[in-house]
This record gives sequence, structure tokens and C-alpha cells, in this order.
Amino acid sequence: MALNNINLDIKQGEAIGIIGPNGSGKSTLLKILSEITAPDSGNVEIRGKVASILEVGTGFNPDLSGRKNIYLNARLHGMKKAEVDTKFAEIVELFGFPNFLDTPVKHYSSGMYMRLAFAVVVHIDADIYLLDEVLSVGDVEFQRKAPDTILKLKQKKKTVLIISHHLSQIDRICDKLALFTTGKIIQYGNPFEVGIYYSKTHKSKEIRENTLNTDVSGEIIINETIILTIQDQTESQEQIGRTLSIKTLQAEECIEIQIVLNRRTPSNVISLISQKHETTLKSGSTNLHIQLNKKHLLPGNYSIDFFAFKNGENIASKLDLTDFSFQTNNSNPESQNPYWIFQVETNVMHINCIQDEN
Amino acid sequence: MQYRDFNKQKVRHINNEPTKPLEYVTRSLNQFGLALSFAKSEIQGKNAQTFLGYFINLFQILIASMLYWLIFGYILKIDTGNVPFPLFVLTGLIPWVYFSSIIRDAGNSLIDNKHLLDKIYFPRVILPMSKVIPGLVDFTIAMAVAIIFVLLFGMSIRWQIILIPAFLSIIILSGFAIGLWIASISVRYRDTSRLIPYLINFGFFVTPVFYPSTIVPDNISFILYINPAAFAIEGFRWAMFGTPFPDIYFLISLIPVLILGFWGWRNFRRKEKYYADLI
Repeated sequence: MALNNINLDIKQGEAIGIIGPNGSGKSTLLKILSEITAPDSGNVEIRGKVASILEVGTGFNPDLSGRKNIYLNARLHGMKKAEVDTKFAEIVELFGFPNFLDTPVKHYSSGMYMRLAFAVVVHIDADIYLLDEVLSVGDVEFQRKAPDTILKLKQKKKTVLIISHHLSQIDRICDKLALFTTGKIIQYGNPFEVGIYYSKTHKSKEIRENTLNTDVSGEIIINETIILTIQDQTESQEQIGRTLSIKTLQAEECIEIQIVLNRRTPSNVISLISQKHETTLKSGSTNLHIQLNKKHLLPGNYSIDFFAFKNGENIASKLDLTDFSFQTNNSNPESQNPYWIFQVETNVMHINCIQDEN
Repeated sequence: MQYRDFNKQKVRHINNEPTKPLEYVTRSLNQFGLALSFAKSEIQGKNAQTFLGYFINLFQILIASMLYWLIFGYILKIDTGNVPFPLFVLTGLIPWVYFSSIIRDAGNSLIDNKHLLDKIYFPRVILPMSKVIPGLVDFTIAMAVAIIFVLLFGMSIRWQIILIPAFLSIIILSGFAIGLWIASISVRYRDTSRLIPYLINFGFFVTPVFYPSTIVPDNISFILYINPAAFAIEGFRWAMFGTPFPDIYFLISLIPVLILGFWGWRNFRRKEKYYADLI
């Protein structure tokens, strides 16, 4: 059963974010609310007109021009021609490519296609909007515009239900978040709290997966040739250290090792990616020391990912290998471009990190 | 700024109970504009990047007419009275092609638009409904050309030609009824899309397209009585050429067809909530 025992009372003007892992019933709920499929039991009471956008671009005819598709798509969502006429200019403005209005949409890039579809959809005059993953389409500019469009709907006292995996976007838009897991709502309420809860439970699941292939000696088998062990954990006032033991069955030459340090916040992950460090692994164990200077880092929850490359190809990787958190009153890290020490046995290297936000 | 107050709106219930008959009729009729939009986009899309465009159907009918004239008129010498064989077969083919296209397109309409059923709600009956319209454009063009041919063959236009819409409505109604029923079972049994061509092929031979119904021996003429297209096509020829008016008993064929149509409509009304899951 995809959904079970869902009880929600959503009021006019509320924006509800729906989050949860894939296959947890988020889309099924929207399908039921939009009458695409019927519940096996239970009842939904709806006041007001519903517009559902479960997929951007549903019902486009690839052979017709953008202009004709605007009318067709609007009609599909229950809008009359006269209504489209009055909103046409706004739709085109949000679409952003007026020169392509008379080109068949099959010649559009996928991004343009999405934008056209989204532009139509947010101009539908409904009372309740059901949106499934529509914020994650399009380019950066569009992704900046899209949340504002939804905030505007909220200002008009419309109700919005939105599924998203982009926590950073929806905890800004939504009044409440509902966290779905295997067809049930396990958390409902304040977006920040539910977001943190989701990040934590989601993370612990990955750790559980890691422990699955850890045997009694604490070894993490990442492929048949490389075995990792977390040897040592140190923490002092200034520094945090981790030692990993890399065990290989045969000596590996010209192996490049890369470490990624992830800082998790409720809404996103900021990753510090080390440069690739070339080294030779002798057969047997090699120790890898990672030392982080706290003064370069913001307080928070961190995890480390391990990657190994040979001839540019990724031969081994393990995510969330070891995790730790620390608290300091260090709200302003000393360096904008922090480096940390990354050491394979005795070849000490200072590695500058590239900051990557995703 | 004025807000629309939700509390003033009527409550709609979403559950697994079938939609009430009257409600389903109103819902479908409210969305009739959507059927027109679908049809319009289909017509425009179908004719995009084609050479013959709107005349492709006419072209096919003319080629087929020549072929049937050669085989049934010239070689097998079927007697069509005072109507020249090419005209006789042309006026049979035009309604037949329309009739069979409604059955085919309406019957396949749900399967062909699976992606829509999955992502957006509208009364599903809109899809087969929309398939009736594109063929009407083809029909009108072909009919206009047929009238030109009638004049070219030196025959005069009878006033009874204005009764053609009556026979046309039988074609549309019965084609839609059959297509609707097929569509409603196509959700579960996908074989329908493969069986429709056989059905149409078989139907072609038991319909007086290339022979007059008068040459059918009495003992097997019941076949024509179960075929609503037979009455309509004979009616077309009566209106255009003054051939004998079709036996009024042919209209008996409308009974099974309307039952089928009602059955199909009932399936849509009761089960369309599950179509997205089943298809």
C-alpha cells in the first residue's frame, strides 16, 4: 500500500512542503488529491478549484508552436481562452523567450520547454496548487524566479502543496513540512525542525548502510581490492583528526586519493573538496591521516567522503565514511579558502580546498 | 486585494465511489471545450510537416476508389444501377472511412494518451469524444470533392442532399458508441488495439461500400441489419443519387450499438478513477 492513515487539515493560504525519500508516497498523495487515482479507502474534502502540476509539460504537442501550446496547456488545466488572452503577456514574460513563441516546441531546448510549461501553470487561476518537483527544473535564473512565483501565490491566499527534494528552497516557502516515509507522515510541522529531523534520519540511514558491510574488525570493504578501516579518532581544542587505514591486496601505483568534507545544515550540504593527492599504496595497510584545523571551519555536523582514482577513473568511493560534529563560538572562520592537512603516511601535504555548494 | 474565500465554495469529496450519473454528464459537458482543444491541436499537429496536409485523407480515398472500381466495377462487374461505379464507391467510402476512423481513434484514445491519464485529471470520456472531430474535417473536404465529381459525371444535385447530416449523425453516433466501449475495455485488455484493424477490415466487407444492399441474398441480409453503417451509407446514396431508400428495418442495428455505447459510458463513469493505475 502506497499510503496509509494520512490525516491532514490544510487551510486556505497555507503552503505545505512534502518531503521524504523516493517511493514514500508523496506523489501518490498528490495524485489522489488531483483525482488522477482514487484512494482504496478514506475521503478527501476539497473546497476550491485544484490545479495540479505533477509533471511540467504534460500535454504539450511537440509539433505546435509555443503560442498554440500555451493555449492548449491552459485549456488542459481548465482555463478558458479569454483568461489566457488577458494573462498572455505575463506568461510570455515568465517564459522569457518571446522570439521563440512561433517555433514548434520540439525545437526548444529542454530548459525552455520546462519554462514555458511552468509559466503557463503558475498563471492558472485555481485555489489550490499541487506541485510535484517543479522547482528543480530550469537554469539558475529560473530557479531563482520559481520560488518567488510561489510566494506570490501565497500572498493571494492560495493553498500550495509542493513536493521537493530541495530543502533549502521549500523551507523558505512553506509554512509547514510533512515528512513521508513508507506511506506515512512521520513528522509534520515547523519546516526547520522537520528539515533537521529529515537530514538526520536520512544520514543515519546511510551510516546504517555503511555498517552493513563492516565486519567485526570494523573494516569497510569498498571493493575487492581496497578495504578501509577507521583507525583512530582524535579531537583537541584546535584540531580534529581522523586516521583511516587503507588495506590493499596488491601494491597500487599512481593512485590518486581525494577527500571531501561535508558540512550538513538542515537544508543543504556544503562540501570542501580536496585536490587529488597522488601516492603509491604498498600491499597491506597504508595509513591516511586527516587533520582539520577548527579555526578554518564553521561549527556544525561534518562527514567525510573518500574517493580513489586510477588513471583518472574512480576505482573506489565511500560516502559518509566517518562523521563528527563540533561546536565552537567560531562564527567567522579565519580563512575564506581553508586548507587542511591531508597526509598519507609520511608524505605530508597541505591541500587547498575548493568550496562546492550544492 | 480581494481573496476568494474557500469556505464559501462547495465541498467536493474524493473517494473510491463511482461518480453519480448526472454529475458525470455535467462534468463531461463542462469540459467539452477541452475536447475541442484536443481535436484542434491534433488536426494542426497531424498536418504539420506534411506535403498533402488536409488533403491526405482525400488522396487515400481517391486512390482506394480507383482500385475498387478496377476490381469490383471493371473486373467483377458489380451492378450499381444508373450510378457510375466510381461515384458509387466514392460515396460509400467517404462515410465508411470516417466511421472506421472514429472507431479506431476513439478505441485507442486512452492507450495513446497514457501519459496524460497519469499526470492530469479531466473526465476521461473527453479523449474518445475529441477523436470524433478531426475526421469530420476530412469528411467535409472529401464530401465537397465528391459533389464536384457528381457534377463532372453530368449528374444533377438532388435537394435531398440536405438530409446528409441526418445520416452523418448515425455514422458519428454509432462510431462513437463502439469506440467508447472499446476504449473502456482497452484499459484492461490491451489486445483491443490489435483487434480493431481486423474488426474494421471485416466490417468493410459486410457494409455496402462497393456493392448495393439489394444484391445481398435475403437469407444472409441479417448481417446488414446489425451494421449501423449500412443504413447510413445507403442513406447517403439515396440522398445523392436517388437510389432506393434504405430498408427502415436497418435501423434495428442501432439498438446493439447504443447498448454498447451506454455500457462504455457506464464503464467510464464507474471505473475511470482507476484508469491511471490500470493502463
